[in-house]
Amino acid sequence: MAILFTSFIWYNNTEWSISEDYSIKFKSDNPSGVFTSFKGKIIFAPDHLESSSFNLIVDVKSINTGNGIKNKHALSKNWFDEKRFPEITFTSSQFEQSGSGFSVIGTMTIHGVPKVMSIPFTFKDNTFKSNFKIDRTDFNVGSTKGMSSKAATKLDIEVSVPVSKI
Amino acid sequence: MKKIILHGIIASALASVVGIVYQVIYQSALDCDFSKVINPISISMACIVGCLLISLGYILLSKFNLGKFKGWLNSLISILSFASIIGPIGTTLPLDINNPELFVGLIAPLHLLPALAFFTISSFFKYE
Repeated sequence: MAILFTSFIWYNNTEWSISEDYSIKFKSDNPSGVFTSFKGKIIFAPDHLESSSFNLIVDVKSINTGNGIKNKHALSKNWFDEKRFPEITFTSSQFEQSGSGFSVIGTMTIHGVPKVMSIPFTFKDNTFKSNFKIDRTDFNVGSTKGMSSKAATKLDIEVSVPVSKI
Repeated sequence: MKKIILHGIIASALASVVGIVYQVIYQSALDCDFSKVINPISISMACIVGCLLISLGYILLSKFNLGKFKGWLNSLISILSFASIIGPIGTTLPLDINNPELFVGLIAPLHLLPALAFFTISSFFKYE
């Protein structure tokens, strides 16, 4: 009985460690890029979504648009204001099965602005994958005036996070 | 004409050597790697093309007996060399290359090398 109970607890709280070959990409006509620093705590069991949780942190400073000047500009007060808001965070509150995958509802905080979002994802071969859109103006990142109007407001986000069981 | 072409070839060899040495020193000193977008072959090719284009300008001056415009040609070469730096400043590198902000520091001097090499050795070549 004790063994059964222990295995139930273990399965209910499958914690995963993030492998190093993750990728977090953002794409639009202009700009596109990646974030290269990402950490967090992932507890996920497909059959026990109620006990699953994501607490994810992206280091804003790790942005790479492929152009040094753009990187510096992205970190400035006009955009991410990295000195005041050094992290992008996502904290889950609820998981749902959706079609062949899942969706996680949680709070995304970018540039100090929290927003509840529902993010679809799949989990296959120990890899979480997700594609969704973000509107930068929802988080007051940049503006839509002047030169900033040339930067797309809606960006496609592509996330791939290989994990291994802890 | 042969002398002008020889001038261009020797200048391109000189610029290539200097460019490759600069790339090696720059990348090792700043611990960066741009070999995916710039390597000894691309540096040499760019120097050869640059120096031969300068030679072509000189050949045209010589052919049409426009020697008095040599100063203007040299000015144009210098201006174009400087202007060509704008390209790399706006370049978006592949996203798996780290520290793209260091790219301009590597590429900008390289853009000046063909003209610099050509002008440096020009006093060794006497032609009308």
